[in-house]
Amino acid sequence: MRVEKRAFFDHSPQRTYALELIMTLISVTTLASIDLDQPALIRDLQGDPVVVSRLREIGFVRGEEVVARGRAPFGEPILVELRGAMIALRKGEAACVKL
Amino acid sequence: MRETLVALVGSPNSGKTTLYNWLTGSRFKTVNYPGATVDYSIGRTHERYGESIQIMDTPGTYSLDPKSPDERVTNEAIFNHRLHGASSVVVAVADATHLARQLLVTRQLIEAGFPVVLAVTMSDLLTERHETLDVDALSNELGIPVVLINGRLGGGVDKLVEAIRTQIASSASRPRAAKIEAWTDDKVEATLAVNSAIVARALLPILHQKPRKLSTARERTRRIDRVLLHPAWGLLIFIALMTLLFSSIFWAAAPAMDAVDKGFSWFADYVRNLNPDNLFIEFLSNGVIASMGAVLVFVPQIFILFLGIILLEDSGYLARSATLIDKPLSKLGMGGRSFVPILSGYACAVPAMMAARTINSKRERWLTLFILPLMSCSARLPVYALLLAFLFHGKPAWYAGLALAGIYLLSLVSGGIAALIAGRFLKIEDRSFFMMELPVYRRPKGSLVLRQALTRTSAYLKRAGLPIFTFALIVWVATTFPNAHEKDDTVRLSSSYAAQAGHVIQPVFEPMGGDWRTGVGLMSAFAARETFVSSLAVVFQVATDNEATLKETLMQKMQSAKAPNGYPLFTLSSVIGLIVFFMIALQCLSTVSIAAREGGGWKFALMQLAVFNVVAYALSVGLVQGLRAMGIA
Repeated sequence: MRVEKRAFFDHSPQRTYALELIMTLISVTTLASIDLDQPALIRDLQGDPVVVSRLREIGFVRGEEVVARGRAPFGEPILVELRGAMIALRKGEAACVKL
Repeated sequence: MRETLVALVGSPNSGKTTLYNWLTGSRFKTVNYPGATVDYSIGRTHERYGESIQIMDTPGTYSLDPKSPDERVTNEAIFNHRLHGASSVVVAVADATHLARQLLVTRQLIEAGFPVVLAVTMSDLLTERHETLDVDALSNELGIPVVLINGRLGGGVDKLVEAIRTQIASSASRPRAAKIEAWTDDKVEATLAVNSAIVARALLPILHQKPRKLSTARERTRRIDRVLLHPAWGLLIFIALMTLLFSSIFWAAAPAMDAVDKGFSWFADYVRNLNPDNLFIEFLSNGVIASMGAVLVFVPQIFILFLGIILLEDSGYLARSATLIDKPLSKLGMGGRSFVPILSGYACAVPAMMAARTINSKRERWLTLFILPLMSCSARLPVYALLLAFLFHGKPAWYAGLALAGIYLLSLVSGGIAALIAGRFLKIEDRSFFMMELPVYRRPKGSLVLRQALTRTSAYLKRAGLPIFTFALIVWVATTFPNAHEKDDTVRLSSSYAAQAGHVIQPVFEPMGGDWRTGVGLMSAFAARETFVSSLAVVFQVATDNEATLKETLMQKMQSAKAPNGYPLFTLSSVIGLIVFFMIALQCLSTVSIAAREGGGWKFALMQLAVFNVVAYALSVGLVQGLRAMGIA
């Protein structure tokens, strides 16, 4: 049992990152975690600067309404409706869009 | 003085290329896949629009802050083109139904100092929604001329040309445009907000008209996507469509191939019978016509492959396929944007490598470029068709069809394995993201699709034609001289230059179960893979039979061919060895040169060349020797 415990608290960088990601996903609603067909307003964009910049250029800006319309097979990419356009995003990119 | 150059710039899928085709009159390039234009092309306006103007089509871009190689192409082309410098006038192209979002790049172009004309496309989709655009209001707000274009019918193009002329006239007095700093997030956000407000004011509902159509293109698209992007059905339909595409290459092409084969056999016979003793006549029939025929037989298959890819592009399904396949491909270190290059790789690696420019991640792009030569390109088709016909001689046609399908699937598997292995050694790291706008489905126009498929097929033929002809000539000379007047064909061949040279290289090909004749075929395949077939046709002098067709004759000659040690030359093991060699070897010099350009230098291209040929040779030798050790000849 001790061995298992140690494995759980092992602070490898990947584990820390994964935990952080999970915490973020739980505490903040993002485009990656909302239910399908539930319209929501974009509150902020956070994450990799290039990804965020491209999201903005495509039209994901504060105050805009987005609806997750479906998921591709294997759970990704997510299909997002934005101003009548359908845009496919991976979970990683969708998680940058805070609602 | 530099000639004025007018550039078309706009978001992916904004209708740029359609507009370009209307302007230039070369109406065979519309594509309904974001990022289909990966290089700029320059043309001239059609004479119906008066004095011609130079027009440049550029890869789609969301902003002047490039994030992938194809967007960098656009930036370079409009600001400092190699020959023309900065464009004199830029036509910003935006889709009427996504106008607010697509105006961003228009704003950036204005800031950069270009004289800009805004062309708003897809006006037919606007009409369908019973809306209209107040062009004058929009023009006043933006401070640039605005023209509404109907891409389906070409309405508004003449007005656009007029507006371009006015801008050219005024551009002389203005300073040239210069690159701008990347916009800050706040600026992008503020601009989008302003654009939305402007567009909201300019878009007006059309009142007092017949009732709105039952469903708009957008609603239809949504309904279709419910099925085509469904987690289970979507995947099934995708697999079914791909299976249909690749299997139709075999069954749909069969009658046409038969006709081409018979026609060329008859022609070769006819020419030979004009004067059987004349050397030049013999060269024409045995050398040129027979080898051209051996390759042209496969044109119907290549045509069908192109037709299928174009149909997928034009309908809008290609963007969906990329989305569906993103997750599985990302497991291999690539992504959804690698799908179109990979699919095009089944036609030809050269355009496929260029299509890889739409991949934004350096790492994914490197891996995609690396594995593309493994995709079973159309130049391999003649080779496989011949070798499989040999293996399954006298058996029902579907045997060979199934085996060919297996080869196509295996090439995908080998690509996946190569990507996994290369990914372990690859040091390049880069962020990977996938964002793709899914365009509305549009019914492909039959005539356009056909014309496009014909253009691509003839481009393939032009590329393949010269090497085939040249090598047919070289191989014929080498197999006929120095004893050209020897009556006995066997003696003439075995004392020829080719045989002499072949004996030198023979030790290399012996472990693969071949002899000098396979060697000559394989060497010539480095000019273009399909010349393997035509070279064998010349080496085995196939046009000497009156009854059977070329393929049949070549088959008979291959069956009776003996290796120097007296054993048959083409056996189960040696033919399988050849197939494996062709599956992996990189034998195409055009691919090597494009790989050097796209992959960032000759180091990449030569490494790729070495890796695939060494692996192909080793696997082929291992397989042949292994099979023989197990008692399979």
